[in-house]
Amino acid sequence: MGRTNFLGEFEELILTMVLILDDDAYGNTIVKAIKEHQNREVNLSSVHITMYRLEEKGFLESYMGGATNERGGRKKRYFKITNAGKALLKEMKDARTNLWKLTPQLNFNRI
Amino acid sequence: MNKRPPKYPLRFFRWFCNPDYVEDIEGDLLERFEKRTNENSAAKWLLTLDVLRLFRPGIIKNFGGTQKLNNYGMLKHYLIISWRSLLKQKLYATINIGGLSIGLTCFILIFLYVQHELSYDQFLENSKDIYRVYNHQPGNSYIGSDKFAVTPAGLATALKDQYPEVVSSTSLDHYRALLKKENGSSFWEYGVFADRNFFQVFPYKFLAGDPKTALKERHNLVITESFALKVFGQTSVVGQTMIHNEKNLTITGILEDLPSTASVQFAFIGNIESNMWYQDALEKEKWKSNSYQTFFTINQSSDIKALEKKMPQLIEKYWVDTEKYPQRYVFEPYSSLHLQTDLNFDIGTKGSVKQLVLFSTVAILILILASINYTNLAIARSMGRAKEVGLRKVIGARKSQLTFQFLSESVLLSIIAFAISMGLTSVFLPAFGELVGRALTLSLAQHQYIIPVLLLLVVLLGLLSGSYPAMYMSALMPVNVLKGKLAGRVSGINLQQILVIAQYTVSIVMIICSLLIYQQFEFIKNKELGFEKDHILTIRARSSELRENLELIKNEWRSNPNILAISGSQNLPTNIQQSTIVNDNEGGDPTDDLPIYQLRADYDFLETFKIELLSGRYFSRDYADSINSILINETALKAMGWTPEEAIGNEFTEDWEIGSRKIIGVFKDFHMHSMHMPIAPLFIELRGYKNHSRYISVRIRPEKVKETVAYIEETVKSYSPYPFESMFIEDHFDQLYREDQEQAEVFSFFTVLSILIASLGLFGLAAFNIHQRVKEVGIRKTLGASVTSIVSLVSWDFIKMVLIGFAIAIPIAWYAVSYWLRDFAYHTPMEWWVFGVAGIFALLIAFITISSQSFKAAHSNPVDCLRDE
Repeated sequence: MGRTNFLGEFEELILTMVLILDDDAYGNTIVKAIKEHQNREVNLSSVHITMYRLEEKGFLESYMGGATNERGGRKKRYFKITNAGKALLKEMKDARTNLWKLTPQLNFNRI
Repeated sequence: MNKRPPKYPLRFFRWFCNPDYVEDIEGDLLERFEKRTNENSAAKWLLTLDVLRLFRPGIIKNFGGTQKLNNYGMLKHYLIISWRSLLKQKLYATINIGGLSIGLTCFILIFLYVQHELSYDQFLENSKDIYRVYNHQPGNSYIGSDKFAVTPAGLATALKDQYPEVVSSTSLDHYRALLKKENGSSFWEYGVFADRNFFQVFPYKFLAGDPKTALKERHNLVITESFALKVFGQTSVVGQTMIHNEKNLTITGILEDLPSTASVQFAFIGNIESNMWYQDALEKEKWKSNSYQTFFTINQSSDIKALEKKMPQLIEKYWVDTEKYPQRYVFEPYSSLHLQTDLNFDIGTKGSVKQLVLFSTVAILILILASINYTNLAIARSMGRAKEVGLRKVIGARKSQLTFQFLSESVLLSIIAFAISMGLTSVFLPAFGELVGRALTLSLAQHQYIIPVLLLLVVLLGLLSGSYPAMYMSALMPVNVLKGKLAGRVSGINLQQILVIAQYTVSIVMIICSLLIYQQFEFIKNKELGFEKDHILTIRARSSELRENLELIKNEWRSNPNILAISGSQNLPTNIQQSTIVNDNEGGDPTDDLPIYQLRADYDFLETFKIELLSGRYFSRDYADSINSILINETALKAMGWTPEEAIGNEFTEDWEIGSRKIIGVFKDFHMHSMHMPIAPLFIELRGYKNHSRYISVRIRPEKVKETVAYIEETVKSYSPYPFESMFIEDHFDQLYREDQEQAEVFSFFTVLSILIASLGLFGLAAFNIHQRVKEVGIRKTLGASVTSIVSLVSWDFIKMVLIGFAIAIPIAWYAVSYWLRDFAYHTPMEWWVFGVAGIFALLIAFITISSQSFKAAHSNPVDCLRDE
């Protein structure tokens, strides 16, 4: 795994959330989704930064939505996961599964 | 419930946020806010908190790239544009920077010189508390001044004893003396002879010995480190002996060498109490004579002016005959010793305030000339850059930004020039120092403030010279400029022309001044002095053996066919120093008193110097001439109102001397001082052969000068342990004008520079102007204009400016020169042709400067410039 293909825990979380939210992934929805699914409070700012970083790395792509009467008429920036992002998520998931397979079963049972 | 989002946090957010993200993040923030306002009263605060959380790298605008928090990028851009426009117009850049560098170099050189002159005698820790006393005798004018640096021997003690304000005081004398080592080698050096309190007033730094006791005994001697090295080859010489006037002196202290800013330089300090004249004067009940310098230190809390006011009482108390010789004592700070040039018999190296003012003026003028160059060329160049300005404005540059751009460009240029001029300064400083006779150095340790001060000046200079072009450029209207309306010539008198005129005015003034100063020196050189100037060797007779055997030596020398005449005298005719007051009637009316210079000379004086007699006769061995016989000069004759014949046999009385003096002859006036001084009344009295003559003058044949001088030197050396000090009378004469000469040299050097700078400016301007008119010239040539008509067409504009400058320069130069000449009692008439010559010279230079450009234009092929129309 090269440097660029490495994702942090939070990055992975965001990437996954974008995947989950599909067509409706932007700053606020992601904060909300994380709260819902993981019961975890995250900062809007860290979500934004992470998404921009992921976009720079090529795992996300963004497009501006149309203006609405809500939110002062400001447009939304929707994020969509790229193929590279999906591949990476899958790769990470497989890697983790492989690692789990290597853990001694006995010890696991004992817990 | 207030549903409006808070203004300031959002505004802050918009300011710092990367513009790429502003919209969506702000949208998110507002969405959150809208949701929260319904459920949370602190929504505003939460939003503020969110904004603060967003203030982090990744969201904040980039520092690099095109997005910036500051103006560095624009500055960088200005720098690049400045640099490119310099490279694009190399000629103007060179002229600009070159002219400015030359101007700045002059300025820095003179700045260093002035700074050096002002820093004299401030190296002692108590320099501010040291004062010296001088003596003002109103009416008793002597060689142009009635102030005297000398005071009675007892003054120092009296000051200390009578006034508690005076902390310490000392009497001293400063002259060159002969010190011998026990093995016989001798050293001829300047030394100070002072009383035992010297080091209380002047706490020089001792390397060895105790300042308190160093001069306690009469035979004590303190020497400087370098003198110790010179004499003994080492510095631990306390206790060694040196011989002065056949007395053994013991070295009791070694001083650190004096800085170059000590006006009184010396190799050693001896005790003046060993001098019998000093002792004599000190023991007198009443003060009678002024011979010694008095310095004292004052209590810091005391008022020096108040102390000075007490001096008349002191004079009343101690002086003899105060009514007859009115005088007063004036106190002067020690630090002004160097620039005080008005005192007779003063000590130390002297600087002249007048010279400082002259030099500073010239330096500032040169600097102004150089910055005018900048302004002028910048205006000229602005035509070429008008489109740039127009475009910038269209894109949205504000006027202030454009002003800033052009100002920063001119500051940049002047800083480049400054760097160059610092290099030039270090190259030329030694030569300049030699020219002004000072050891000038540029050490940053010694002048820490010099770089910041100069840098500040340079930035100011850049701002000043750049301000007009900057304002002019930034005010251009983009529509006109982009339409190309500005390309036409600006007609009428504009600033550019005024500046060129000013430059030429200054240059022409300087040319005229230089020429007239040169004329004055020619005048002095060629003026009939009244005595023979050529081939007279003068020898300073210091040893008493030499003086006493003068008649013997004269007889010996007469046998040498190359020696034509020999005379011993108290002074040389170039510089008569003694003076007295006489009256033609014993006990006569004091209003008839005639202050008169006197010269003691032997039988051969008139013959040696070929001074002509008007009536009567000179001293002769055939008559029983005594000290009572005198000859007077024409000026004295006129002062008495006699005819040459009437004068013979008349008598002068001199009240404190030998009684009456009989006039036996009248001689023609000769210049007895420099030409700064008018010829004054003078009499010559006889010095008998046993009497002392300070100078021996020998007129020799113009052939075989070397051999004759060697022959004379051999004889003199056999009588005198002192070094052989000889000089031709011509050199004595030149010495009288050394300071003037120095000034003239520096001045003419600056004249050349000013012409150079003005020509540079003119050249640049002409080149630019012709470049602008290249199409006009092309069309004229196509229509049949001749080379001459084109050259005269383009030259005329500039010649006109030079002519106007010339017209303005004439009265200024006339005034300046007559001010300078006022210092001379005898001076050359100011002839009009000199002004004419200066004008023609300036015109010629201007024409040559322009012609290379105008001829190029006139010879150009019109096809080349018209083809692309």
